[in-house]
Amino acid sequence: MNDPLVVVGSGASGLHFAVTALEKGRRVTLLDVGHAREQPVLPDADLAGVKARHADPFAYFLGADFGSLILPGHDGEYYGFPPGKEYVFRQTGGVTARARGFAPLFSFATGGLAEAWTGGSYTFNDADLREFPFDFAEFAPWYERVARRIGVSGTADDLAPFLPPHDGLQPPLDLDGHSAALLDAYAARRERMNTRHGLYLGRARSAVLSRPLADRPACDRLGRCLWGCPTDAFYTPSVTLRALRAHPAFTYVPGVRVEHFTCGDGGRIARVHATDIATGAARSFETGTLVLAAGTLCTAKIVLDSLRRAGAGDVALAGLSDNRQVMMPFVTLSRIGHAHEPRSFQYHQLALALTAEDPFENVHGLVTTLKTALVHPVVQSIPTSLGTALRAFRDVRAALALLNVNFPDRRRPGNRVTLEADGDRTRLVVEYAPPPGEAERIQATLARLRGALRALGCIAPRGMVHVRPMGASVHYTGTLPMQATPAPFTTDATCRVRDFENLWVADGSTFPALPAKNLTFTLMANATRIAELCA
Amino acid sequence: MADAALLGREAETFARALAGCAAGERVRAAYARFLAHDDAPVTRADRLLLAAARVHPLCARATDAYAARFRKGGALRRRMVLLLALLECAPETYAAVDAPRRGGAALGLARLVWEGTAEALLAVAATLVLGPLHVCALILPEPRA
Repeated sequence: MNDPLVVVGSGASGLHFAVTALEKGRRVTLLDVGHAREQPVLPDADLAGVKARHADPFAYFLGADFGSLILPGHDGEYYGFPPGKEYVFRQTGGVTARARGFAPLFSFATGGLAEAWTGGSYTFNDADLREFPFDFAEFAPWYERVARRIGVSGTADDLAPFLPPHDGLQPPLDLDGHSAALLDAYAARRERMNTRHGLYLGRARSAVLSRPLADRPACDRLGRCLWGCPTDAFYTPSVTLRALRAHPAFTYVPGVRVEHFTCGDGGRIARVHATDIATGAARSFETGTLVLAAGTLCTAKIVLDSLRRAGAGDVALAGLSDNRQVMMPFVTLSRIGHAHEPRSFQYHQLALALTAEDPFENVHGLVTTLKTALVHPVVQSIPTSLGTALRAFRDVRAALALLNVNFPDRRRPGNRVTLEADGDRTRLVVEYAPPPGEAERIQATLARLRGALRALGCIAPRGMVHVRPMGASVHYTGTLPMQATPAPFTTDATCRVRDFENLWVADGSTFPALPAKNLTFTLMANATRIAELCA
Repeated sequence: MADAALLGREAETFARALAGCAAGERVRAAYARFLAHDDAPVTRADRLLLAAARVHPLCARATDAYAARFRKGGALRRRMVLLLALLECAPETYAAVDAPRRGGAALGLARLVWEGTAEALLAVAATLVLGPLHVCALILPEPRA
């Protein structure tokens, strides 16, 4: 990789590429729109403390414009998007999309989409990596390196075959009472759960500190995860960016939206062209090596716009993939009447795997026991008067949990990203169709999960299952896949785009398949691998 | 647009029905602030249910039990969910919404059975009273503005 080394995007991929390149002694310039998180308020207060002491608790929890209020007729979500994370999905106005069968989400935040993640740091096993140019043994050192960098807590347990362990794990956090009860129920029926239901339950692998790491403290269970951890015990990429900004070889250029690149003599990319968000003025940056890490859809737009300007005609980037997600609330009967635990890690503490004949088709789930989420989105979904629903909710709150089920996806040629004219600009066109038989597969899987939950003493009411629209999981991959056979708009094993000598892609675009897991940890590990091998 | 005094009384009545607590000044002000800019349609059926609910907290419970089945996306439910959201955030009232009810599984289950029975009785009574009025409100033409 030649100088100047320019990275586009400050998400998990771009930052872990940058930090690795800096560790190798390179100079890095990072271009970013960079909508920033506000300073955390009352950093020592737990959730009740915020409600009691915040000057404007309605703005903190519901938004100054009530944008996080969930009223009847909402789309079935059980969490309002927290106002403190509004910056994650704030748009710039310069990127638009027309979509069919897909609800695309874009982030222009410092730290990218992972500023709003739930910390699931799951390794891909050999079945997941079947179409990748490396197996788990080759990839494990990158997982370990990232885990030591960001802090991942977890342990090797029954999920180890599905989530292979690495040496970078911190001990897991103490379980909340409900999660502990579920794990005990599973342990008492382990053989039946494994053989009859094909279900394996274990501790989550989460990007939250159980031990201090550098200047970050261990989690002190303030219960504010959803609204943004005020102590940074929970990892988000902006933690890394903050550290990088003090590095003398790192130049951070916020406030610019990269539009396209142009080539010089010999077909090498020579300049990156951007728009200054504040003034609308055009800016350009010399580059010897360009690393795109803007997220699959924005990376596709930059590539397609560049090709279009270079006269390549209408190009389609095929293979867009995403995890279908289904939210399945359930009640653990033995927990009814217990007190809920607001002072606890709020995101999932347990994970599960449901086996399939083809291990790539295994389904993975995250079990989040209800602790400190807002009450009104859940209570209104109970089919009674709100007063009755609220009183019933207070009795069963410690028994409520949400299973977030992820389904795998594969690249298919019809699922693609193209451009169309939009005045004097261009607009992304995203087309997606689910695989044949998806609805039946989802129903069959949910029936199996319901049976397994029953065996654990839980009830999952049918009417409360929510199948999220495709695009909602924001695990977008597959448009510039790593593959062994050279072909246009593919990448080699180091994620170099074959059509350009000095263009690398460090985000999910290069994943040739998408297992049913949170991919952020693998994105960070892969970006680290690319930088270590090539920078 | 309802006036602030009416909305304040409405908020107090609904708070008693929902959580058995007073709404308080901060919640009442936020309730009125949201509704001042809320452009969701309010039909004659909605006005009927709102009027019935404002009478007394018990009427609010019964009317909401009816609305939960027959007017789930209407103005009454919308306002009561808004109020619930405000109550759970305000320093004066969040504990009434948020605090766990103690007593163990047996008492918890007993309370659930009692709540379910009371809800069923309220819903039947509300349906007998409000059902015919709601049907009339739906089939008669809206007066011209």
